Amino acid sequence: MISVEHLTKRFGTQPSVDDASFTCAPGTITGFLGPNGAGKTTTMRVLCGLSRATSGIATVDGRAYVDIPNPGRVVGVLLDAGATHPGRRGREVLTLAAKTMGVPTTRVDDVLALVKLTGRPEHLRTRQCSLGMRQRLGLATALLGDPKVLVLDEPANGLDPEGIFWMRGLLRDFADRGGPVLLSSHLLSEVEAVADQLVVIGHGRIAAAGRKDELLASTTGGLAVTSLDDTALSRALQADDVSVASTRDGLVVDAAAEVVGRAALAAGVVLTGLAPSAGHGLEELFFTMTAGSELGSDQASAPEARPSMEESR
Amino acid sequence: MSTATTTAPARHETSVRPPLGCLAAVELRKAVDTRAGRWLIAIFAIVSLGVTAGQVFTGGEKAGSYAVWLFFQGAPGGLLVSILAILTITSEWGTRTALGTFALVPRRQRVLGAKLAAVLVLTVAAFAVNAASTALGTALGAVVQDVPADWSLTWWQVVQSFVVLLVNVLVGFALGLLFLNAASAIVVFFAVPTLAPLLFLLVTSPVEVAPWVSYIAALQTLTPGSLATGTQWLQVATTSAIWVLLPAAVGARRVQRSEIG
Repeated sequence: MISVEHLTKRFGTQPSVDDASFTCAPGTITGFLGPNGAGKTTTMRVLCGLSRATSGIATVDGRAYVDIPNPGRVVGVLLDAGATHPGRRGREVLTLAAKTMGVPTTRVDDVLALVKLTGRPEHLRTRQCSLGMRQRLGLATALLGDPKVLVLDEPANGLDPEGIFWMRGLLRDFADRGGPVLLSSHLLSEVEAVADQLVVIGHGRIAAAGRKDELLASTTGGLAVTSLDDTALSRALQADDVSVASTRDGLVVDAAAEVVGRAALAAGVVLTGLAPSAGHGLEELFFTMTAGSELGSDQASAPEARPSMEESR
Repeated sequence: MSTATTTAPARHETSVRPPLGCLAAVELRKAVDTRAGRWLIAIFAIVSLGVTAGQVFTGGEKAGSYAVWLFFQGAPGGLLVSILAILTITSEWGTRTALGTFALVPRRQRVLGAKLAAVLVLTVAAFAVNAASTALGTALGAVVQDVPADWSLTWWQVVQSFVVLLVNVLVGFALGLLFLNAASAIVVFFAVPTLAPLLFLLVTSPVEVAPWVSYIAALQTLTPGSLATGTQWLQVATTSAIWVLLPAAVGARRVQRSEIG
Protein backbone atom coordinates (compact mmCIF):
# COMPACT_ATOMS: atom_id res chain seq x y z
CA MET A 1 0.00 0.00 0.00
CA ILE A 2 1.38 3.37 -1.05
CA SER A 3 -0.28 6.52 0.17
CA VAL A 4 0.46 10.10 -0.76
CA GLU A 5 -1.53 12.73 1.09
CA HIS A 6 -1.53 16.43 0.25
CA LEU A 7 2.08 16.24 -0.75
CA THR A 8 3.72 19.53 -1.62
CA LYS A 9 7.35 19.99 -2.53
CA ARG A 10 8.75 23.40 -3.31
CA PHE A 11 12.16 24.23 -4.64
CA GLY A 12 12.45 27.89 -3.75
CA THR A 13 9.04 29.32 -4.49
CA GLN A 14 8.34 27.05 -7.42
CA PRO A 15 6.19 24.08 -6.40
CA SER A 16 7.41 20.95 -8.09
CA VAL A 17 4.60 18.95 -6.53
CA ASP A 18 1.50 20.79 -5.43
CA ASP A 19 -0.94 19.19 -2.99
CA ALA A 20 -0.81 15.76 -4.59
CA SER A 21 -2.86 12.90 -3.13
CA PHE A 22 -3.31 9.35 -4.34
CA THR A 23 -3.08 5.78 -3.13
CA CYS A 24 -1.91 2.54 -4.67
CA ALA A 25 -3.86 -0.44 -3.41
CA PRO A 26 -2.39 -3.91 -2.94
CA GLY A 27 -2.66 -6.02 -6.06
CA THR A 28 -2.89 -3.11 -8.44
CA ILE A 29 -0.51 -1.48 -10.86
CA THR A 30 -0.72 2.28 -10.83
CA GLY A 31 0.52 4.16 -13.84
CA PHE A 32 1.93 7.53 -12.82
CA LEU A 33 1.67 9.62 -15.93
CA GLY A 34 2.90 13.02 -16.85
CA PRO A 35 5.28 14.82 -19.15
CA ASN A 36 8.87 15.45 -18.18
CA GLY A 37 9.11 17.95 -15.37
CA ALA A 38 5.54 17.38 -14.19
CA GLY A 39 6.61 16.20 -10.74
CA LYS A 40 6.63 12.41 -11.08
CA THR A 41 10.25 11.95 -10.11
CA THR A 42 10.03 14.45 -7.26
CA THR A 43 6.98 12.65 -5.88
CA MET A 44 8.76 9.31 -6.04
CA ARG A 45 11.91 10.66 -4.41
CA VAL A 46 9.89 12.12 -1.56
CA LEU A 47 8.09 8.79 -1.28
CA CYS A 48 11.47 7.04 -0.95
CA GLY A 49 12.88 9.41 1.64
CA LEU A 50 15.45 10.94 -0.70
CA SER A 51 13.80 14.31 -0.71
CA ARG A 52 11.91 15.99 2.08
CA ALA A 53 8.32 17.08 1.52
CA THR A 54 7.58 20.75 2.14
CA SER A 55 4.25 19.57 3.51
CA GLY A 56 2.07 16.49 3.36
CA ILE A 57 2.76 12.85 3.99
CA ALA A 58 3.91 9.94 1.88
CA THR A 59 3.85 6.43 3.31
CA VAL A 60 4.72 2.97 2.12
CA ASP A 61 3.24 -0.01 3.88
CA GLY A 62 1.78 2.35 6.46
CA ARG A 63 5.05 4.01 7.43
CA ALA A 64 7.19 6.88 6.31
CA TYR A 65 9.98 5.39 4.21
CA VAL A 66 12.73 6.51 6.60
CA ASP A 67 10.98 4.61 9.40
CA ILE A 68 11.19 1.29 7.56
CA PRO A 69 14.04 -0.57 9.27
CA ASN A 70 15.25 -2.44 6.22
CA PRO A 71 13.52 -0.84 3.24
CA GLY A 72 15.13 -3.07 0.63
CA ARG A 73 13.07 -5.95 2.03
CA VAL A 74 9.82 -4.03 1.86
CA VAL A 75 9.99 -1.70 -1.12
CA GLY A 76 11.70 -2.40 -4.41
CA VAL A 77 12.92 0.90 -5.74
CA LEU A 78 14.18 1.83 -9.18
CA LEU A 79 14.58 5.58 -9.45
CA ASP A 80 17.32 5.98 -12.03
CA ALA A 81 18.92 3.10 -13.86
CA GLY A 82 21.81 5.39 -14.80
CA ALA A 83 22.79 5.95 -11.18
CA THR A 84 25.29 3.12 -10.94
CA HIS A 85 29.06 3.29 -10.61
CA PRO A 86 30.31 2.98 -14.19
CA GLY A 87 33.23 0.84 -13.08
CA ARG A 88 31.22 -1.78 -11.19
CA ARG A 89 30.04 -4.95 -12.83
CA GLY A 90 26.36 -5.81 -12.77
CA ARG A 91 26.86 -8.73 -10.44
CA GLU A 92 28.89 -6.57 -8.05
CA VAL A 93 26.15 -3.92 -7.94
CA LEU A 94 23.66 -6.61 -6.93
CA THR A 95 26.04 -8.23 -4.47
CA LEU A 96 26.55 -4.91 -2.66
CA ALA A 97 22.80 -4.39 -2.45
CA ALA A 98 22.26 -7.97 -1.23
CA LYS A 99 24.84 -7.55 1.52
CA THR A 100 23.34 -4.23 2.55
CA MET A 101 19.83 -5.61 2.94
CA GLY A 102 21.07 -8.92 4.33
CA VAL A 103 19.73 -11.36 1.76
CA PRO A 104 21.80 -14.39 0.76
CA THR A 105 23.92 -13.85 -2.33
CA THR A 106 22.06 -16.73 -4.00
CA ARG A 107 19.32 -14.16 -4.48
CA VAL A 108 21.70 -12.36 -6.84
CA ASP A 109 21.64 -15.39 -9.14
CA ASP A 110 17.86 -15.58 -8.83
CA VAL A 111 17.24 -12.01 -9.89
CA LEU A 112 19.91 -12.08 -12.60
CA ALA A 113 18.06 -15.04 -14.12
CA LEU A 114 14.75 -13.26 -13.63
CA VAL A 115 15.83 -10.18 -15.59
CA LYS A 116 17.76 -12.31 -18.08
CA LEU A 117 21.20 -10.87 -17.45
CA THR A 118 22.84 -14.19 -16.58
CA GLY A 119 26.12 -14.93 -18.31
CA ARG A 120 28.16 -12.29 -20.08
CA PRO A 121 25.96 -9.27 -19.22
CA GLU A 122 26.35 -9.75 -15.45
CA HIS A 123 30.13 -9.41 -15.82
CA LEU A 124 30.06 -6.19 -17.82
CA ARG A 125 30.96 -2.95 -16.14
CA THR A 126 27.86 -0.80 -16.08
CA ARG A 127 29.47 1.79 -18.36
CA GLN A 128 29.54 -0.92 -21.01
CA CYS A 129 25.87 -1.74 -20.52
CA SER A 130 23.13 -0.43 -22.77
CA LEU A 131 20.36 1.58 -21.15
CA GLY A 132 18.08 -1.43 -21.53
CA MET A 133 20.55 -3.62 -19.65
CA ARG A 134 20.88 -1.02 -16.91
CA GLN A 135 17.10 -0.90 -16.60
CA ARG A 136 17.08 -4.68 -16.17
CA LEU A 137 19.84 -4.38 -13.60
CA GLY A 138 17.83 -1.70 -11.81
CA LEU A 139 14.76 -3.94 -11.82
CA ALA A 140 16.89 -6.79 -10.51
CA THR A 141 18.08 -4.56 -7.65
CA ALA A 142 14.49 -3.59 -6.91
CA LEU A 143 13.37 -7.23 -6.80
CA LEU A 144 16.41 -8.47 -4.86
CA GLY A 145 14.92 -8.14 -1.38
CA ASP A 146 11.68 -9.87 -2.37
CA PRO A 147 9.76 -6.69 -1.57
CA LYS A 148 6.05 -6.23 -0.98
CA VAL A 149 5.84 -2.98 -2.93
CA LEU A 150 7.47 -1.71 -6.12
CA VAL A 151 8.24 1.91 -6.94
CA LEU A 152 9.68 2.30 -10.43
CA ASP A 153 10.52 5.57 -12.15
CA GLU A 154 10.39 5.24 -15.93
CA PRO A 155 11.35 1.56 -15.90
CA ALA A 156 10.54 1.08 -19.56
CA ASN A 157 13.05 3.70 -20.72
CA GLY A 158 15.53 2.10 -23.04
CA LEU A 159 13.81 -1.27 -23.12
CA ASP A 160 13.04 -2.67 -26.54
CA PRO A 161 9.45 -3.71 -27.33
CA GLU A 162 10.21 -7.26 -26.27
CA GLY A 163 11.69 -5.96 -23.03
CA ILE A 164 8.62 -3.84 -22.37
CA PHE A 165 6.38 -6.84 -22.99
CA TRP A 166 8.51 -8.93 -20.64
CA MET A 167 8.42 -6.23 -17.96
CA ARG A 168 4.62 -6.01 -18.18
CA GLY A 169 4.37 -9.72 -17.47
CA LEU A 170 6.73 -9.36 -14.56
CA LEU A 171 4.81 -6.46 -13.02
CA ARG A 172 1.45 -8.13 -13.60
CA ASP A 173 2.76 -11.22 -11.89
CA PHE A 174 4.04 -9.14 -8.98
CA ALA A 175 0.73 -7.31 -8.60
CA ASP A 176 -1.30 -10.50 -8.88
CA ARG A 177 0.54 -11.79 -5.84
CA GLY A 178 -0.74 -8.78 -3.90
CA GLY A 179 2.01 -6.22 -4.31
CA PRO A 180 1.12 -2.68 -5.22
CA VAL A 181 3.20 -1.30 -8.06
CA LEU A 182 3.72 2.37 -8.80
CA LEU A 183 5.34 2.98 -12.12
CA SER A 184 5.83 6.26 -13.83
CA SER A 185 6.06 7.06 -17.48
CA HIS A 186 5.78 10.02 -19.80
CA LEU A 187 4.44 7.71 -22.47
CA LEU A 188 0.80 6.81 -22.19
CA SER A 189 1.12 3.77 -24.41
CA GLU A 190 3.72 2.19 -22.10
CA VAL A 191 1.41 2.33 -19.12
CA GLU A 192 -2.01 1.91 -20.69
CA ALA A 193 -1.54 -1.79 -21.38
CA VAL A 194 -0.46 -2.76 -17.90
CA ALA A 195 -1.95 -0.31 -15.39
CA ASP A 196 -5.15 -0.88 -13.43
CA GLN A 197 -5.16 2.60 -12.08
CA LEU A 198 -3.90 5.87 -13.46
CA VAL A 199 -2.64 8.98 -11.76
CA VAL A 200 -2.06 11.82 -14.19
CA ILE A 201 0.12 14.68 -13.03
CA GLY A 202 0.83 17.98 -14.72
CA HIS A 203 2.50 21.08 -13.29
CA GLY A 204 2.86 19.23 -10.02
CA ARG A 205 -0.88 18.82 -9.59
CA ILE A 206 -2.82 15.61 -9.88
CA ALA A 207 -4.96 16.22 -12.92
CA ALA A 208 -6.83 12.94 -12.81
CA ALA A 209 -6.72 9.76 -10.80
CA GLY A 210 -8.80 6.63 -10.75
CA ARG A 211 -9.39 3.25 -12.28
CA LYS A 212 -8.20 3.13 -15.85
CA ASP A 213 -11.53 1.93 -17.28
CA GLU A 214 -13.49 4.58 -15.38
CA LEU A 215 -11.12 7.30 -16.51
CA LEU A 216 -11.47 6.04 -20.03
CA ALA A 217 -15.26 6.04 -19.79
CA SER A 218 -15.44 9.49 -18.26
CA THR A 219 -13.20 10.94 -20.88
CA THR A 220 -14.87 9.28 -23.83
CA GLY A 221 -15.38 12.03 -26.33
CA GLY A 222 -18.76 10.68 -27.45
CA LEU A 223 -18.98 8.75 -30.69
CA ALA A 224 -16.61 8.55 -33.58
CA VAL A 225 -18.78 8.75 -36.66
CA THR A 226 -17.89 8.32 -40.31
CA SER A 227 -20.27 8.60 -43.21
CA LEU A 228 -20.32 9.07 -46.98
CA ASP A 229 -21.19 12.75 -46.46
CA ASP A 230 -19.81 14.10 -43.20
CA THR A 231 -20.68 17.68 -44.07
CA ALA A 232 -24.39 16.96 -44.54
CA LEU A 233 -24.51 14.77 -41.43
CA SER A 234 -22.75 17.41 -39.37
CA ARG A 235 -25.28 20.02 -40.53
CA ALA A 236 -28.20 17.72 -39.69
CA LEU A 237 -26.82 17.00 -36.21
CA GLN A 238 -26.17 20.65 -35.48
CA ALA A 239 -29.74 21.43 -36.50
CA ASP A 240 -30.77 19.03 -33.71
CA ASP A 241 -28.56 20.95 -31.25
CA VAL A 242 -26.05 18.11 -31.01
CA SER A 243 -22.45 19.16 -30.59
CA VAL A 244 -20.24 17.92 -33.38
CA ALA A 245 -16.53 18.18 -33.92
CA SER A 246 -14.75 17.48 -37.13
CA THR A 247 -11.59 15.43 -37.03
CA ARG A 248 -9.27 14.12 -39.67
CA ASP A 249 -10.95 10.73 -39.46
CA GLY A 250 -14.54 11.89 -39.44
CA LEU A 251 -16.83 13.36 -36.78
CA VAL A 252 -16.87 13.16 -33.02
CA VAL A 253 -20.41 13.50 -31.79
CA ASP A 254 -21.54 14.03 -28.25
CA ALA A 255 -24.78 12.09 -28.39
CA ALA A 256 -26.20 8.60 -28.24
CA ALA A 257 -25.88 6.30 -31.25
CA GLU A 258 -29.64 6.42 -31.80
CA VAL A 259 -29.60 10.20 -32.19
CA VAL A 260 -26.88 9.97 -34.80
CA GLY A 261 -28.69 7.17 -36.60
CA ARG A 262 -31.94 9.09 -36.77
CA ALA A 263 -30.20 12.24 -37.97
CA ALA A 264 -28.48 10.23 -40.70
CA LEU A 265 -31.74 8.61 -41.72
CA ALA A 266 -33.49 11.97 -41.86
CA ALA A 267 -30.70 13.57 -43.86
CA GLY A 268 -30.36 10.56 -46.12
CA VAL A 269 -26.67 10.09 -45.37
CA VAL A 270 -25.12 6.61 -45.36
CA LEU A 271 -23.26 5.86 -42.09
CA THR A 272 -20.05 3.90 -42.49
CA GLY A 273 -18.85 3.90 -38.90
CA LEU A 274 -20.35 4.45 -35.47
CA ALA A 275 -18.25 3.65 -32.40
CA PRO A 276 -17.28 5.05 -29.02
CA SER A 277 -14.19 7.16 -29.42
CA ALA A 278 -12.72 5.72 -26.25
CA GLY A 279 -9.42 4.87 -27.83
CA HIS A 280 -8.43 8.49 -27.95
CA GLY A 281 -10.01 9.56 -24.71
CA LEU A 282 -7.11 8.82 -22.48
CA GLU A 283 -4.63 10.33 -24.83
CA GLU A 284 -6.68 13.49 -25.03
CA LEU A 285 -6.99 13.58 -21.27
CA PHE A 286 -3.27 13.16 -20.99
CA PHE A 287 -2.56 15.97 -23.40
CA THR A 288 -5.13 18.44 -22.16
CA MET A 289 -4.43 17.91 -18.49
CA THR A 290 -0.71 17.97 -18.69
CA ALA A 291 -0.17 20.30 -21.58
CA GLY A 292 2.57 22.86 -21.21
CA SER A 293 4.47 21.07 -18.48
CA GLU A 294 7.26 20.10 -20.78
CA LEU A 295 8.24 23.71 -21.19
CA GLY A 296 9.98 23.48 -17.85
CA SER A 297 11.56 26.78 -16.85
CA ASP A 298 9.63 28.53 -19.58
CA GLN A 299 6.44 28.02 -17.62
CA ALA A 300 5.29 31.62 -17.84
CA SER A 301 4.57 31.20 -21.51
CA ALA A 302 3.03 27.77 -21.12
CA PRO A 303 -0.63 28.81 -21.09
CA GLU A 304 -0.29 30.45 -24.49
CA ALA A 305 1.42 27.41 -25.89
CA ARG A 306 -1.58 25.19 -25.30
CA PRO A 307 -4.86 27.02 -24.87
CA SER A 308 -6.63 23.89 -23.71
CA MET A 309 -4.62 23.97 -20.51
CA GLU A 310 -6.70 26.84 -19.19
CA GLU A 311 -9.68 24.53 -18.93
CA SER A 312 -7.82 22.01 -16.87
CA ARG A 313 -6.92 24.53 -14.22
CA MET B 1 9.77 -16.24 -16.17
CA SER B 2 7.55 -17.75 -13.58
CA THR B 3 6.12 -17.16 -10.19
CA ALA B 4 8.60 -19.61 -8.75
CA THR B 5 11.57 -17.48 -9.69
CA THR B 6 10.13 -14.21 -8.46
CA THR B 7 9.43 -15.58 -5.02
CA ALA B 8 12.39 -15.70 -2.67
CA PRO B 9 12.99 -19.12 -1.18
CA ALA B 10 12.44 -17.78 2.30
CA ARG B 11 11.53 -14.45 3.74
CA HIS B 12 14.32 -13.20 5.96
CA GLU B 13 14.07 -10.88 8.87
CA THR B 14 12.68 -7.66 7.42
CA SER B 15 12.03 -5.67 10.55
CA VAL B 16 15.63 -5.33 11.66
CA ARG B 17 17.91 -2.55 10.51
CA PRO B 18 21.02 -3.74 8.75
CA PRO B 19 23.66 -3.76 11.51
CA LEU B 20 26.38 -1.10 11.30
CA GLY B 21 29.10 -3.73 11.00
CA CYS B 22 27.39 -5.12 7.95
CA LEU B 23 27.08 -1.65 6.42
CA ALA B 24 30.74 -0.95 7.20
CA ALA B 25 31.74 -4.19 5.45
CA VAL B 26 29.75 -3.09 2.41
CA GLU B 27 31.41 0.32 2.45
CA LEU B 28 34.83 -1.27 2.75
CA ARG B 29 34.05 -3.45 -0.25
CA LYS B 30 32.84 -0.41 -2.19
CA ALA B 31 36.10 1.39 -1.43
CA VAL B 32 38.17 -1.33 -3.04
CA ASP B 33 35.94 -2.90 -5.72
CA THR B 34 36.58 -0.24 -8.36
CA ARG B 35 39.63 0.45 -10.47
CA ALA B 36 40.17 3.81 -8.76
CA GLY B 37 40.23 2.12 -5.38
CA ARG B 38 42.58 -0.63 -6.50
CA TRP B 39 44.95 1.83 -8.14
CA LEU B 40 45.13 3.93 -5.00
CA ILE B 41 45.95 0.86 -2.95
CA ALA B 42 48.59 -0.18 -5.48
CA ILE B 43 50.12 3.31 -5.45
CA PHE B 44 49.99 3.32 -1.66
CA ALA B 45 52.00 0.08 -1.63
CA ILE B 46 54.49 1.53 -4.11
CA VAL B 47 54.89 4.73 -2.07
CA SER B 48 55.36 2.72 1.08
CA LEU B 49 58.07 0.69 -0.62
CA GLY B 50 59.54 3.94 -2.01
CA VAL B 51 59.96 5.30 1.50
CA THR B 52 61.51 1.98 2.42
CA ALA B 53 63.96 2.32 -0.48
CA GLY B 54 64.84 5.76 0.88
CA GLN B 55 65.46 4.18 4.26
CA VAL B 56 67.68 1.51 2.78
CA PHE B 57 69.75 3.62 0.40
CA THR B 58 69.75 7.15 1.84
CA GLY B 59 69.04 6.46 5.49
CA GLY B 60 72.67 6.79 6.53
CA GLU B 61 73.22 6.08 10.18
CA LYS B 62 69.43 6.11 10.80
CA ALA B 63 68.76 3.41 8.20
CA GLY B 64 68.55 0.79 10.93
CA SER B 65 66.10 2.69 13.08
CA TYR B 66 62.65 1.10 12.93
CA ALA B 67 60.86 3.76 15.00
CA VAL B 68 62.14 6.69 12.92
CA TRP B 69 61.10 5.22 9.60
CA LEU B 70 57.76 3.96 10.78
CA PHE B 71 57.04 7.57 11.65
CA PHE B 72 58.20 8.86 8.25
CA GLN B 73 55.89 6.43 6.47
CA GLY B 74 52.86 8.21 7.90
CA ALA B 75 52.58 11.37 5.81
CA PRO B 76 53.14 10.06 2.24
CA GLY B 77 51.00 6.98 2.80
CA GLY B 78 48.41 9.15 4.52
CA LEU B 79 47.97 11.21 1.37
CA LEU B 80 46.89 8.19 -0.67
CA VAL B 81 44.60 6.72 1.96
CA SER B 82 43.16 10.24 2.26
CA ILE B 83 42.23 10.24 -1.41
CA LEU B 84 40.60 6.87 -0.90
CA ALA B 85 38.69 8.38 2.04
CA ILE B 86 37.63 11.34 -0.10
CA LEU B 87 36.42 9.03 -2.88
CA THR B 88 34.53 6.85 -0.42
CA ILE B 89 32.26 9.82 0.12
CA THR B 90 32.36 11.71 -3.15
CA SER B 91 31.94 8.80 -5.56
CA GLU B 92 28.41 8.36 -4.22
CA TRP B 93 27.61 11.83 -5.51
CA GLY B 94 29.85 11.75 -8.56
CA THR B 95 28.26 8.57 -9.89
CA ARG B 96 24.92 9.23 -8.19
CA THR B 97 24.99 5.86 -6.46
CA ALA B 98 23.85 7.82 -3.39
CA LEU B 99 20.36 7.34 -4.80
CA GLY B 100 20.54 3.57 -4.36
CA THR B 101 22.60 3.70 -1.17
CA PHE B 102 20.19 5.96 0.68
CA ALA B 103 17.16 4.14 -0.73
CA LEU B 104 18.47 1.03 1.04
CA VAL B 105 19.62 2.88 4.16
CA PRO B 106 17.41 5.95 4.54
CA ARG B 107 19.01 6.95 7.84
CA ARG B 108 21.82 8.73 6.11
CA GLN B 109 24.03 9.20 9.16
CA ARG B 110 24.29 5.42 9.42
CA VAL B 111 25.80 5.33 5.96
CA LEU B 112 28.27 8.05 6.92
CA GLY B 113 29.12 6.17 10.11
CA ALA B 114 29.69 2.99 8.12
CA LYS B 115 31.93 4.89 5.70
CA LEU B 116 33.95 6.30 8.59
CA ALA B 117 34.33 2.82 10.04
CA ALA B 118 35.49 1.51 6.66
CA VAL B 119 38.01 4.34 6.37
CA LEU B 120 39.34 3.58 9.84
CA VAL B 121 39.79 -0.06 8.90
CA LEU B 122 41.68 1.02 5.79
CA THR B 123 43.85 3.32 7.91
CA VAL B 124 44.76 0.52 10.29
CA ALA B 125 45.48 -1.76 7.32
CA ALA B 126 47.68 0.94 5.79
CA PHE B 127 49.53 1.31 9.08
CA ALA B 128 50.12 -2.44 9.12
CA VAL B 129 51.56 -2.25 5.59
CA ASN B 130 53.79 0.63 6.71
CA ALA B 131 54.94 -1.41 9.68
CA ALA B 132 55.79 -4.41 7.51
CA SER B 133 57.49 -2.31 4.87
CA THR B 134 59.52 -0.49 7.55
CA ALA B 135 60.59 -3.83 9.00
CA LEU B 136 61.91 -4.81 5.59
CA GLY B 137 63.66 -1.42 5.32
CA THR B 138 65.22 -1.74 8.76
CA ALA B 139 66.62 -5.19 8.08
CA LEU B 140 67.98 -4.25 4.65
CA GLY B 141 69.04 -0.73 5.72
CA ALA B 142 71.16 -2.07 8.55
CA VAL B 143 73.00 -4.30 6.09
CA VAL B 144 73.30 -1.83 3.21
CA GLN B 145 74.37 1.12 5.36
CA ASP B 146 76.34 -1.12 7.71
CA VAL B 147 74.70 0.17 10.87
CA PRO B 148 73.17 -1.78 13.76
CA ALA B 149 69.46 -2.50 13.40
CA ASP B 150 67.49 -0.78 16.15
CA TRP B 151 64.12 -2.43 16.59
CA SER B 152 63.22 -0.58 19.78
CA LEU B 153 59.76 0.91 19.69
CA THR B 154 57.87 2.62 22.50
CA TRP B 155 54.10 2.93 22.77
CA TRP B 156 54.18 6.66 22.09
CA GLN B 157 56.23 6.16 18.95
CA VAL B 158 53.51 3.84 17.67
CA VAL B 159 50.81 6.31 18.67
CA GLN B 160 52.54 9.30 17.10
CA SER B 161 53.26 7.40 13.90
CA PHE B 162 49.61 6.34 13.70
CA VAL B 163 48.34 9.83 14.52
CA VAL B 164 50.23 11.35 11.58
CA LEU B 165 48.57 8.83 9.25
CA LEU B 166 45.16 9.06 10.89
CA VAL B 167 44.85 12.85 10.95
CA ASN B 168 45.74 13.04 7.26
CA VAL B 169 43.09 10.45 6.42
CA LEU B 170 40.41 12.05 8.57
CA VAL B 171 41.03 15.46 7.02
CA GLY B 172 40.48 13.85 3.62
CA PHE B 173 37.28 12.18 4.82
CA ALA B 174 35.99 15.44 6.28
CA LEU B 175 36.81 17.47 3.16
CA GLY B 176 35.08 14.86 1.00
CA LEU B 177 32.03 15.17 3.20
CA LEU B 178 32.17 18.96 3.07
CA PHE B 179 32.42 19.24 -0.71
CA LEU B 180 30.73 16.01 -1.87
CA ASN B 181 32.87 16.46 -4.94
CA ALA B 182 36.16 14.67 -5.53
CA ALA B 183 37.86 17.43 -7.52
CA SER B 184 37.19 20.18 -4.96
CA ALA B 185 38.07 18.01 -2.00
CA ILE B 186 41.33 16.76 -3.52
CA VAL B 187 42.39 20.22 -4.68
CA VAL B 188 41.78 21.72 -1.26
CA PHE B 189 43.44 18.75 0.42
CA PHE B 190 46.62 19.26 -1.59
CA ALA B 191 46.52 23.05 -1.82
CA VAL B 192 46.39 23.48 1.95
CA PRO B 193 49.87 22.13 2.73
CA THR B 194 51.31 24.25 -0.10
CA LEU B 195 49.52 27.48 0.66
CA ALA B 196 49.35 27.37 4.44
CA PRO B 197 53.07 28.11 5.03
CA LEU B 198 52.87 31.07 2.65
CA LEU B 199 49.93 32.49 4.55
CA PHE B 200 51.68 32.10 7.85
CA LEU B 201 54.67 34.07 6.55
CA LEU B 202 52.32 37.06 6.52
CA VAL B 203 51.36 36.61 10.15
CA THR B 204 53.56 38.20 12.74
CA SER B 205 52.74 37.16 16.23
CA PRO B 206 54.64 36.56 19.48
CA VAL B 207 53.11 33.09 19.59
CA GLU B 208 53.66 30.83 16.65
CA VAL B 209 50.19 30.63 15.13
CA ALA B 210 50.65 27.94 12.48
CA PRO B 211 50.66 24.83 14.70
CA TRP B 212 47.40 25.99 16.28
CA VAL B 213 45.49 26.37 13.02
CA SER B 214 47.23 24.20 10.44
CA TYR B 215 47.07 20.47 11.03
CA ILE B 216 50.11 20.12 8.77
CA ALA B 217 52.13 22.45 10.97
CA ALA B 218 50.88 20.73 14.11
CA LEU B 219 51.88 17.30 12.81
CA GLN B 220 55.24 18.66 11.67
CA THR B 221 56.15 19.53 15.25
CA LEU B 222 55.94 15.83 16.12
CA THR B 223 59.17 13.90 15.80
CA PRO B 224 59.96 10.21 15.97
CA GLY B 225 62.59 10.88 18.61
CA SER B 226 60.57 12.42 21.42
CA LEU B 227 57.24 12.10 23.13
CA ALA B 228 55.03 15.01 22.19
CA THR B 229 54.40 17.59 24.90
CA GLY B 230 50.99 18.54 26.23
CA THR B 231 51.08 21.65 24.07
CA GLN B 232 51.79 19.58 20.99
CA TRP B 233 48.89 17.22 21.71
CA LEU B 234 46.67 20.23 22.26
CA GLN B 235 47.75 21.61 18.91
CA VAL B 236 46.95 18.31 17.21
CA ALA B 237 43.56 18.38 18.94
CA THR B 238 42.69 21.97 17.99
CA THR B 239 43.82 21.62 14.40
CA SER B 240 41.88 18.35 14.14
CA ALA B 241 38.82 20.15 15.42
CA ILE B 242 39.25 22.80 12.75
CA TRP B 243 40.12 20.47 9.88
CA VAL B 244 38.19 17.33 10.78
CA LEU B 245 35.29 18.00 13.14
CA LEU B 246 34.18 21.28 11.62
CA PRO B 247 34.04 20.26 7.95
CA ALA B 248 32.68 16.82 8.88
CA ALA B 249 29.90 18.35 10.97
CA VAL B 250 28.96 20.85 8.27
CA GLY B 251 29.14 18.12 5.62
CA ALA B 252 27.14 15.58 7.61
CA ARG B 253 24.44 18.15 8.26
CA ARG B 254 24.34 18.97 4.58
CA VAL B 255 24.05 15.30 3.64
CA GLN B 256 21.27 14.88 6.18
CA ARG B 257 19.25 17.73 4.72
CA SER B 258 20.07 17.60 1.05
CA GLU B 259 18.03 16.28 -1.78
CA ILE B 260 19.49 13.05 -3.08
CA GLY B 261 19.29 12.66 -6.80
